[in-house]
Amino acid sequence: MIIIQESEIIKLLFGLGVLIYLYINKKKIIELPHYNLLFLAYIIVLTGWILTVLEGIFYEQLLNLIEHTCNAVSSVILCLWCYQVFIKDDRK
Amino acid sequence: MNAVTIIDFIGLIASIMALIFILNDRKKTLKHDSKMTLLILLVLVIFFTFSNILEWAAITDQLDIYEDYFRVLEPIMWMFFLYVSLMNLQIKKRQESEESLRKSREALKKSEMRYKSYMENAPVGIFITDSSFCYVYANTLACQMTGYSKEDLLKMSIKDLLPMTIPIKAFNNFNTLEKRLHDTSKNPILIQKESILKKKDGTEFYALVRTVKLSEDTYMAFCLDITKRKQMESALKSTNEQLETGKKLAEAANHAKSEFLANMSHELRTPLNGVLGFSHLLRDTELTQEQREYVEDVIFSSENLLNIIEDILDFSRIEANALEIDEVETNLKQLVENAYRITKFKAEKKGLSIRIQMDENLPECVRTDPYHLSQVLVNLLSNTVKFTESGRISIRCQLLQSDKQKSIIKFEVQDTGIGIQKDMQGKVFEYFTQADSSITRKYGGTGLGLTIVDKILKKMDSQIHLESEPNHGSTFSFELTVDNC
Repeated sequence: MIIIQESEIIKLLFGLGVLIYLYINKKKIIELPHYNLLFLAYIIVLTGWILTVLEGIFYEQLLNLIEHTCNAVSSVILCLWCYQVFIKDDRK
Repeated sequence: MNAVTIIDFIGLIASIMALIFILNDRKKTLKHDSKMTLLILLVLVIFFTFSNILEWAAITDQLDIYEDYFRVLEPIMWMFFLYVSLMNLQIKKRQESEESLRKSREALKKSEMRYKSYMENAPVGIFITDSSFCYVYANTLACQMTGYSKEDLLKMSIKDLLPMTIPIKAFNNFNTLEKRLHDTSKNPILIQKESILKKKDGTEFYALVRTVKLSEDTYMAFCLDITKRKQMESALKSTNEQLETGKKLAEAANHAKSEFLANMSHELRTPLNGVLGFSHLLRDTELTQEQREYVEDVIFSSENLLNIIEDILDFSRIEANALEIDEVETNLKQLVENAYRITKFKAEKKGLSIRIQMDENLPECVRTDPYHLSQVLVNLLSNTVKFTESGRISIRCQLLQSDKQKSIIKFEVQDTGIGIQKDMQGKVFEYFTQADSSITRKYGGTGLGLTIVDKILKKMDSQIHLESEPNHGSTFSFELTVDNC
């Protein structure tokens, strides 16, 4: 049985919109400090959003687990980015 | 607690830590970044934290009703954060470039002021011209040099400062300068030359002009007024010419004097030898006591005169650089003994004891100039007899060093005479100089004897030494290096 929530679809569409924005401004984005970490965090969180939609179609349990893992990893990477920008760079 | 709950919990912890990092370094970061970006980031991370809380809470089925709102807001927050960050980055870059530009302008302004100050206060006249050699700048000294005002000079070109009195040469020089300055193969070009430039009042002045090509259409010339130097050079040249003429005249006069002396000495010696010869013959005839004394006086005076003439002749030879050393095989012992015998008669006549000391190891035969060495020894011995009233005179000859080829021999003539004061010891070897004028009056002589000795020894690569103490006597010595036969 397919269970897809509207909010999940809207979030995914917004997320893809952000991805397009990132692609358009990729030359500017690379000038942000530690942009690779930030970009990675976003891609992982976007993957999580995609999996949120997909889990309503198939492999609910597995995809749900991966989605939550993506959210957690994204949080960790964002935390790492904050550490690099606010703690480590300041020490330098 | 299942796996999903644990994963959500890890995400929640990471979000809270990120929040702590941001809050912990808020002040420092604010200094560098915009408040807006930080605020958005803070909201994003708070959102992330709440999102993680909700994820975690959704499993526990407690706050499921709020989850949908957060789901939609999450990408919007990301978008907002990225947009603000990029905007901030642009603003920051623009601010930085503006700041950099402002600093550059300030530095440029300072540099320009410094440069202007250097140019205005430089101790040389500075002209800057364009590609057609029209003046575009002239400093204060340049205006003072030429007599023109700055405004006048800026309407003029290089040609206007070249004198019309020598137009061809001046314009040729100018054309050469122009060609060389336009030669782009040599960059930077530097030309330095002395030129005559014209002042506003029509007078001319000498200038040392150093021209540099600054760029394709700009030339800079440093100009130094060297009129005074030129005048001094000219005066110096004239003085040098006069001195040269004077020197030539003096040399000619000196040569004529030497020639005259040599001729006259020769002319005097011939009749004097006649007088001496016939006086000797006359002395051997039957004469009264009074007549004999007169003849002795004639002989004494004639001998003295002959000695003086001999000295003058030697002196003129030395002056004319005609003194030549002729080395031949010589019996040294015999030479020294002859000199001793010549003086012995005079010394004994004066009541002085004279002795000779010869080194037993002296070589029998050496190569030297016997005539001049004998002259040196006789001169020294005669000198000691002349200036010694009582006591003794000695001549020593010592072998200092010898090998198969060469020997070094030391000659020493010592007396117990009047001696010479320390400050006069150097002067006795100068021409026509004796220790003091009272000596000349008392002992007579020309003051040439020791000078001749000194000159002859120098010619023989030796050097006379004098040790003397007033009223205790003098010691003249020299070392001679001779080849063994």
